[in-house]
Amino acid sequence: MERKLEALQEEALEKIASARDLAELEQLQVEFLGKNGKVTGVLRGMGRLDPEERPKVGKKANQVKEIIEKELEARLQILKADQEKQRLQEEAIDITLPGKPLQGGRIHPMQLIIEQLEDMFLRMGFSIEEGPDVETDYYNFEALNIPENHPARDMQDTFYVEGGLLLRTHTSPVQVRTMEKQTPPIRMITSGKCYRVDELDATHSPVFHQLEGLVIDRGITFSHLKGVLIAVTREIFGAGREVRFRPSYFPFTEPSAEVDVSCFKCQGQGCSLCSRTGWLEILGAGMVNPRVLEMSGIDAERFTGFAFGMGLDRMAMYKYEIEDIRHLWDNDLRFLKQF
Amino acid sequence: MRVSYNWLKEYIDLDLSPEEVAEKLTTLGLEVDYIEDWKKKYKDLLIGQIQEIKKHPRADNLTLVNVGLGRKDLQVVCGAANVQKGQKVVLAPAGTTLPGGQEVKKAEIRGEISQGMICSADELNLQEEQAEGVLVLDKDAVPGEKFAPYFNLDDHIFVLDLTPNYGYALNLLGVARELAAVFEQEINYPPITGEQESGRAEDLISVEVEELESCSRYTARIVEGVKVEESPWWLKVRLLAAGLRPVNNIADITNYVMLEMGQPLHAFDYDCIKDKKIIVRNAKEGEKLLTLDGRERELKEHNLVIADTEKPLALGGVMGGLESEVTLKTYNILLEAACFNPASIRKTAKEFLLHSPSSHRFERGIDIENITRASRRAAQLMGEIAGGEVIGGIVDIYPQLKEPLLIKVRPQRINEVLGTDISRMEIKSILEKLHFKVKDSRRKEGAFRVQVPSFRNDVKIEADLIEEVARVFGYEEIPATLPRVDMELGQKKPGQDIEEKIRNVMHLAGYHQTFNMPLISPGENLQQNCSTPLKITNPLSSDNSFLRQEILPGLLRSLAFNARRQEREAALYEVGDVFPGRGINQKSALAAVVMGAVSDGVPWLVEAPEFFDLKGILEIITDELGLELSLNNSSHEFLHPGRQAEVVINGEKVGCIGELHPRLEEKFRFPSRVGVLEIDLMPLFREASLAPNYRGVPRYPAISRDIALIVKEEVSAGGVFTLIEENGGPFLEDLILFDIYRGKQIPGDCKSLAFRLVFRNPERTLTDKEIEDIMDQIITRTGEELEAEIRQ
Repeated sequence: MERKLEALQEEALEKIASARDLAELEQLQVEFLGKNGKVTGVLRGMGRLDPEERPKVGKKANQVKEIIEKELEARLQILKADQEKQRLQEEAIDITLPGKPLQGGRIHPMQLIIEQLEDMFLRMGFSIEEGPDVETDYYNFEALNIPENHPARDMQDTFYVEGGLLLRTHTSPVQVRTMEKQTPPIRMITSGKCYRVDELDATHSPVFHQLEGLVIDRGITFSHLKGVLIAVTREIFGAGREVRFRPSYFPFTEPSAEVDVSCFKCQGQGCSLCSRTGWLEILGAGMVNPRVLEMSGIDAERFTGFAFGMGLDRMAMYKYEIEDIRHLWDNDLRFLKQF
Repeated sequence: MRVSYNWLKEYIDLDLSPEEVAEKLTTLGLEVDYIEDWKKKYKDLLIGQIQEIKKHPRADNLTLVNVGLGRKDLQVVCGAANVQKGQKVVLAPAGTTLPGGQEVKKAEIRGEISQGMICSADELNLQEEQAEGVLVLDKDAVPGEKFAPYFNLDDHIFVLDLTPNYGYALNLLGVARELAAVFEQEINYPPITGEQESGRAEDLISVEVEELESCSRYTARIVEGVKVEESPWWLKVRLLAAGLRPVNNIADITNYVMLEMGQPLHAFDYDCIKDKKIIVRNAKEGEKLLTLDGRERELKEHNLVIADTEKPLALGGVMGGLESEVTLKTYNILLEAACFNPASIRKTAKEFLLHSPSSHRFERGIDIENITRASRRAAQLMGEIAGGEVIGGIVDIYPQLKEPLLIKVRPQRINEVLGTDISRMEIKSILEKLHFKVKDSRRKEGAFRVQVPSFRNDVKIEADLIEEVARVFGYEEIPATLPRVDMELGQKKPGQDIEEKIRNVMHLAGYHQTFNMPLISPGENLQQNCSTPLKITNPLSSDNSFLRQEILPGLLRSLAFNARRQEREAALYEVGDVFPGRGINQKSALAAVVMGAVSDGVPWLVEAPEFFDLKGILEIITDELGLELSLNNSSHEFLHPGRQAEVVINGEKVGCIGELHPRLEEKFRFPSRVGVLEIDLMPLFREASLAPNYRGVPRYPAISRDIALIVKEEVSAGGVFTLIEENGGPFLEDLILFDIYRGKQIPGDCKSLAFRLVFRNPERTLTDKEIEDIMDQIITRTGEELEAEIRQ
């Protein structure tokens, strides 16, 4: 009996070692250990044995069963590992194939500039104000110290609208509207469309965008104007940029300044972008003219302030090196998709 | 304003490179746009002397000219008729470049070598019209030497872009004065003699000023016996450098003195003045004047004229009249030097589109105290250059003397505004360098009393003087600091967050943002029921003569632009402002267009992909913003009659959605169907909520059932949808239409709609029995109301 068991064990181990897949292994499990399996059969036949021999044979049979089970398990692990390895090999892909395309829409470069600036000013505690494109002569000119027949009106050739109105030539009317409804301290920016009688060509457009800011409080100085505008310029054009302030003229500020940034394309050496001057003109600014403060009901002795304005189209053109202003209006997909 | 550096150096000793001067001018606020390098432009030209002239052996109208250049001679083939032996001429040797950029090459002309070119005035850019022959120089020209210094062309021209406040710098002395202030130099004023001398001018002319408001000072001076002819070259070159065209010596002298001293002058032919009387008056309505440019002008009452007793002679300060113009026949001159009111000049100049160097200066204000000096200077030059006799005396109508302006200036305030620490001494010194007279206070901290010089019309208040101090002190010297402020939150504008949300949805849906000009032509308006758009009274063209009331016209232009460039698929949108009508009236809108949308899956998306693309966007937007969307039937003419709807959000009509009418698609030449959407955003800004509506994670499982209902074609999916929803009970969580089927197995005039219903009770698991009851109810109700049958 015991010999028979040993023979079975030998047979089983041999077959297990040569099993090639999981199905074969499963069959072996049934063949030897299943309900009608060979080892089970031996155990079942124990009843016919001498009672004295039973424990001995029983022990042997259990031993054999355990050994076979162990071998089956070991072989199972090996076969599983082989199978997994093979599957993984088969599943290898060509990682150089292109990725799944994302069909998202793009943000217009003008919006990118507006958002960058708005975000920056919001961080500094400025609020965003808005005003209408169709304006009165008062808000666009008179209240900004540009009376009728003033030569400064030539700087801004105006579109007039029926009903004695006009299309704002700059965003500055929003300054006046804000000063009228708010008391200092004021820290605001506004942006939007402006209109001037200019034929559309590579560098001019009858419609353009400006961003304008105003700070009014006690003790605001020209030195603060410089500090804030240098910070703004470096945020947009990079920390290493040089910023230059030179006297200029706007009827609504006094003193007034034009702000240039060193050309980032040629590092100030002179190139086509900066017309060989090394500088790019980006901002107009100044201390709010006391007359303008007073016209809007602010005490010009107690409060001072500075204002600034910039052309966003030009800003976008500088920043992204866009060569023709018309690209900003054509909405050519080949252009839009690059932003 | 163009400033010749050589000319400038007559008034101020500067030993600086042109670039250094330009830099300084710019930092003073006199922005130098660029420098014209005449020295370089004229560097190749030489003075030559004609040694010998021979006939060209093979050409009748050409000569062989031997030009002596001191040490060597060059042979030039020349076609000019006026060359003579001994003449001094300008030679451009072969291998050099003319001022106009044209290269001079060594050439063989009919077998004869030409080693250069003898230049005419126009070839030298010294005259516009073609010259008769070569330019002949005076005898003192030295052969072999460079031509540029001889004609004062070794120069640099600063091209200034002056803002309107720099009226006082629109002349050479004005610019010199600015530089003198920063370089601490003295000005060499031009010598003016005999200014005070009296004479019989008053016997020769009388002046009456009727409009003192428009003409606060008028002077007349007489120069007799002039010989009107071309100006000498030195004078012409100066005018050319300044960008003015030489005319004749008298006109040129008036321009020269204007450029030098800033005072516009006008010379009349004295003998054309009737009764020898000048009247400065307003024009009579309809009165006519033939101006110097040869055009007859019909005048209005507010136009100021210089007249004699009979008729207007000139538009005061703007342009002279042709009849009293100085011509080659003129013998006696009446020289006008006056001060006209800036606003009046500006109005007239604009009205007649006559912007002249003279009106430009009057508009910005001239120095009323400088008038007689300028007049004397010009008369004196007429004596020297045109051989006239300057009659002593001047008729000067100046009844209300201009009082010098006194401004109180607080040094402390200057530092408060600039954020600087400039001493009283320095402030005083800066102002004095700029010719302001400063009277110090007796008190230590007291204010200065500053007297403004008569040429500084731009300075009126303390702030103006703060700028004067700042620009001479140097903007670059003012420290940059950040203000210390009371902290406050920056606020976005109303609706800005919602607009950003909407734009994000558009980008996720694959729509590209566009910017379209709000100017349209009247024919582009799409919606019939719009009120009349706002009209621009002075448009650039009729194409953009109205303000848009809707974004779509511009967006369709952009779509057509892309279609013309072979784009087959495009999805564009804009969030922007529209102008609904009269007055100041503006609101935000969203518009989108889509062409060639690709859809697969359920049949209706395949049938009208563009429409349902846009509808999907509306559903997402309203869902994100917590709003209720519905579509109603509509009948817009610009839309496909069977594929359009009114967009209703929270019960309010906000816009339209649809497919463009095929007629319009054809008109725009779109390659495929185009879906369009436009909605007013103001109701969304008002009603939207950005807070997500969280309802908790469900604890019990959902049970879903599919059902296919066969209904007649005319029954809308929406109708079935609503009926199911109404009968779905409180636990119907989701209802999805996932297929429409037409074809075999169902009657020809019917369709099968397949829905998935998802039920869930948040409190417990629903039983099959409960679901079955609800499904039975739905089947019964749809059967009764819509004759729907279950598809097995």
